Amino acid sequence: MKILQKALGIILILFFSNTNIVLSMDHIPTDDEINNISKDLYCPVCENIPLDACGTQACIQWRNTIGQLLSEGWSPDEIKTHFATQYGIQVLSEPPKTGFHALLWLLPLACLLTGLFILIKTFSSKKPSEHEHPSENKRHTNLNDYHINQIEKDLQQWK
Amino acid sequence: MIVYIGYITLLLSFVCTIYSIFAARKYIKTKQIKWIDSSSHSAIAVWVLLTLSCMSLVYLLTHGHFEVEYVATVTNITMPSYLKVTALWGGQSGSLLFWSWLMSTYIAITMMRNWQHERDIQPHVITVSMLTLMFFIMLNLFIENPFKLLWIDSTERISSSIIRPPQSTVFTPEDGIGLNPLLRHPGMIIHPPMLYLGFVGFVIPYSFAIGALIVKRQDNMWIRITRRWTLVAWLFLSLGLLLGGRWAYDVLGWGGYWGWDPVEIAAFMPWLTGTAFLHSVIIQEKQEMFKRWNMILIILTYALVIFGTFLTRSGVLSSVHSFAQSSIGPLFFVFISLSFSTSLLLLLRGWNHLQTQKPLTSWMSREGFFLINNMLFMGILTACFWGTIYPLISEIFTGQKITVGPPYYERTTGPQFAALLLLMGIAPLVAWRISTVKRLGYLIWRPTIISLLIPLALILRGVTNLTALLSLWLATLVFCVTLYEFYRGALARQNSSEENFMQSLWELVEKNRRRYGGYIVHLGVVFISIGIIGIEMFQQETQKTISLNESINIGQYSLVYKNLSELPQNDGRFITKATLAIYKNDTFVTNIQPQRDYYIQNQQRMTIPDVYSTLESDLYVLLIDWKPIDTQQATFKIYLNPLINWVWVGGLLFIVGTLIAAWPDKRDDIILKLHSST
Repeated sequence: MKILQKALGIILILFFSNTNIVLSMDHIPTDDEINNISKDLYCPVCENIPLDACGTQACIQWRNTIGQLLSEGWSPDEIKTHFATQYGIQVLSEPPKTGFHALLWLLPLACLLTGLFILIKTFSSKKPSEHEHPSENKRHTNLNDYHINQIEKDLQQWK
Repeated sequence: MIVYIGYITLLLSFVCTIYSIFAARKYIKTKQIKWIDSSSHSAIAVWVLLTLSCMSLVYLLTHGHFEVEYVATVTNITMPSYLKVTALWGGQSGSLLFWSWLMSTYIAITMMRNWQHERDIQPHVITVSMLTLMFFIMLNLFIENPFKLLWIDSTERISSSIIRPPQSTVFTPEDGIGLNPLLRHPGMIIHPPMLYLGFVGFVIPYSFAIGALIVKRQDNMWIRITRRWTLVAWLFLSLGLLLGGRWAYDVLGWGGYWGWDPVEIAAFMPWLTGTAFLHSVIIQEKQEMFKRWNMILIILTYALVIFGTFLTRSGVLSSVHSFAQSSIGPLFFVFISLSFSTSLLLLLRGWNHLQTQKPLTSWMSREGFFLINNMLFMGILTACFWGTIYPLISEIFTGQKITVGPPYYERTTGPQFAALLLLMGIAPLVAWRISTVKRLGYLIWRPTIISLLIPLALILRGVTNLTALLSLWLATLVFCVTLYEFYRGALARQNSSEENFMQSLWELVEKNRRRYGGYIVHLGVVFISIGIIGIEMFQQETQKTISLNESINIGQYSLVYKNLSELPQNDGRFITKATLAIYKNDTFVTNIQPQRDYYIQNQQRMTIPDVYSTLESDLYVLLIDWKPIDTQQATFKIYLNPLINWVWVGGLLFIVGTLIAAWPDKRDDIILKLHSST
């Protein structure tokens, strides 16, 4: 019985996977589907322009290839990996997050955490003194009374 | 003849910068006033000479002197006159000359101020600013000379130089190559000058800061003197970034305004440190704190200005902005290294003199919030800087070329921008020195409740994107808090005077321009944020090939393809233009005409979008491709960009706010005079 169930399962899997292949072979990808993948790819020649926005002949050719691969049933990830294998990881809009390239993501985070740590240290080491009270817009100035009076006088004249 | 006038005045300006530095140093030794006057006059003479040099180049550009290499490279006969003038900054050598001229203008204006009370610092200000100027003029004279002539020898070999090579005659091509088509846009008249004015403007506060460090001045004089300079530089830099965004939106044809391109980031980085500096100096002025930090910020800003110029012009990184690249990279690198290390050494030398007088009492204080604000700006800067140089790091250490695209920047900076937005809402309500959560809660509960109405309304309309709801709530909160600040201030004034509310509001802003100008800038930022949230989170796009009278649907719009025409132009372009009728909910709205320009001489194509704009959204249409007329099919790419126009509205408000904050105020001048006299 179990063998029968397994066999039926395998037949069903094969049936549906075959159906998928047949369906995908028939599927003509839309421009939007192609662009969805293209916007995450950069051709090595064009300068910092994603594939979906680039009008060069090479990029048009790449988009055609994406269309072709989609029609053959490739998934977007498989297509991106294919281009990365063929032309190097520079074609991807972001490098992998593993190995050396993890540094790209970790360093800004580390810097931010360091900044936070310094801030916390700064705040925790500066306790408010006893004479400080909560006050709204308490003005502090390094001008002495003479200067303040002088400013007031000038302001009066100016008015 | 004109070529030599331009060249000789450039040469003389170089000599004058050297003399100006020499005379300033002589004044430090002798203390004879004649030397500092002479140095100052010489700095003004540099401006006169560079003006003549720039005018000569403009004359050559506008009169088709194709025997000049630069003219032949960036202009041609068919270009309209205004573009021939803008070609001054359309190539490497011309833009360097223009850059030097702008810097000399800033320096000349600075020299015209009354220096009576700042004699100790003046020679150092001159030295630092003139050294920077000298570097740029030197690049123009010895590496990127815009006055080089084209020569042809007996073997018909064409070369370029100022002096005639042996057995050569001047070669005048029949026509020039012409400006890069990407730069043939009205936005190019104003975008680069604004950006340059922003960049070079920071040289002035930096020079004052270094001067203050050298003479070990402990007061805030340099900050008070340069406050307006900093604001002006910051305003121009902001304008440059904004106009650059508009140019990208109109010309590059990818439906956006900001692509996290290395050169865009290069201009954005000094803006980040400049913004942090503008906030941080308020604390130094009011509380005598953050003196060291402010020095670090202005040194960083200057270094990033030079670094940004280096990135743009060296070609070390790939960018869509690579219009002006050459071999000046190594020299820039040396200059950045020298200026940055010298600045740091001076900072270390004066470290003890910059001791903060008052301690930070609590994180729950205005200065505490400003410090967090500064940390966030630095966090964004770090992410941007690291992302920009990482391709080089990767190539050096792994040999792998990589691309750091928008996903990295959006993920690393997005949360920090959101936190900044939140701070913008809270900080104005927190008192100096020390406040309490209870007090803050009392002030913020009303704006918070009002601001929650927006996300609630959006949820009722079916918006479920949590990030979008949170971001829009934050923007609304800042908007409400800022308006509440205006309301509170005007009400308090009204209660203590006989003015009506509107009079009180006017007087409030007029008497506190810096504070309320700043708040208007915050309102501008809120609108810009709304625009960014709209396009980042709700943008729709579609691309389709359709036949005549077929339609493409996007959002509430339907676009029907009407016709395609091909139009040869007199200016060297061949235009293909499509017409589509726009319907909104089945009602005709207008026609739209995206086009493709083909520049015959440059063999370059430009996809020019046509946009149907409302405050609600932009319908941005591109003609991607077309089949021959007989098959009558064309491919269109259409973006629906919600709320994008709030970016430009916010930009305008931003400018108005900055102008209000920077407008001369007699009270500031009085304080400055009193400080100077003590």
